[in-house]
Amino acid sequence: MSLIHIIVIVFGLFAISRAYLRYKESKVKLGELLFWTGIWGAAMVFAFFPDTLNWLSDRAGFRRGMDFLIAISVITLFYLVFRIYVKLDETGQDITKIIREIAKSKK
Amino acid sequence: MSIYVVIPAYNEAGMIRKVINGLKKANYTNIVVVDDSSNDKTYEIAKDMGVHALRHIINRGQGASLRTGIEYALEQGADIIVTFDADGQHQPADIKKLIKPIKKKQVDVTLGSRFIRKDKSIPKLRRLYLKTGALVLFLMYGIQLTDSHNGLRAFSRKAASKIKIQGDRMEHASEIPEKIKKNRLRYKEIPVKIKYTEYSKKHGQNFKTNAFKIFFKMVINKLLR
Repeated sequence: MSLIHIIVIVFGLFAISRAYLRYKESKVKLGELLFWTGIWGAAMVFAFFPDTLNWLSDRAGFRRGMDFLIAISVITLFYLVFRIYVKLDETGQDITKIIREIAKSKK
Repeated sequence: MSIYVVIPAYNEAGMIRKVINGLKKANYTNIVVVDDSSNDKTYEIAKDMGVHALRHIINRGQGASLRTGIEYALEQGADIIVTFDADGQHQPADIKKLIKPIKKKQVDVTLGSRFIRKDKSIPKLRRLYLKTGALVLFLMYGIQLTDSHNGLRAFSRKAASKIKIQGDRMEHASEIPEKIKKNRLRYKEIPVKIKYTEYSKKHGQNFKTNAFKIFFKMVINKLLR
C-alpha cells in the first residue's frame, strides 16, 4: 500500500463521516449525503483497484485512467461552483429583501 | 395625480442637496431618496430637507435601492414614478416630457435617451459603451433602444408594480428593458439632456468594469430564469 492509498482512504472516510454527521443533524439532504458518499467511495475504489478506473476510462475513450479521473473531477467542480454561484445569488437577494423591509419600516 | 421621484443615492453628499432643491423648484414634492448605506452624510442631508429618506443599513447596489424606492412609492399611492440620478446629471425640466405620454395613457413606461438628439457633449468612449450595451439588449431581448443605461425613467403605477427588479447591482439597467418586453408594456424613449460634470464623470467611472459584470449576469440569468 503506497502513501496515496492511505491518504485517500483516511480522507475519504473522514469526508464521508462528516457528511453523515451533517445528515444526522439534518443540515444536508439525503441526496447530498449520497452524492458525497458516491464521490469518496469511488475515489477509494479507484485507489485500491486501479484496474476499475482503467476499465472505465477505456469505455469513456480516454487513454489513461488519470486523464479520465481529472476530466470527471473538473466537470464535477464546475458543477459545484455553479451551484454555489446560484445559491450565493439567492442568499444575496434574501439579504436585500431584509434590508429593504428594514428601510421601509424605519421610515 | 401623484408623482413620486425616486433617487437612489450612494455617497452623494456633495450633490444631493442640489438635486433635491432642483426637483423642489420644479414643483416635485414627493421625493424619495434611498440611501444605499453611504459613508457620508447623504442620508442626513436628505432627511433634513424633509423628503422621504430611506436607508439601507448594508450597501445592496443601485438596483436594490431603486426597487426599495419604487415599492415605497407604490405603498404611498404613487400614480407615476420617476427614477432620477443623485449625481446631478439629470435635468428636472426633463421629467415633464417623460410623464406626459404616461399621463395621456399612450405608454406605460418612458425611458430617457441622450442619443435621440445629436449631442456632441457625450464623451466618445462612453458613447461606445452605451451603444454596445444597446446592441446587446437588442440581441438578447429584442428590444430596440438608442440608450442602454439611462437612469432617468418614468413608470405608470401598473408598470412599476409589474417590473420587479431582481438584480441588486447595476444589471437592472438591462433588466428593466427585458421586463418591459416580457410584460408587454408600451414604452417610448424621450430625448433628455445629460450634464457631464467633473463630479458625475468621476462617479460614473466604474462603468467600464461593470459592463462586463452586467453582461456576465445577463447571460447567467438568461440560462437560469
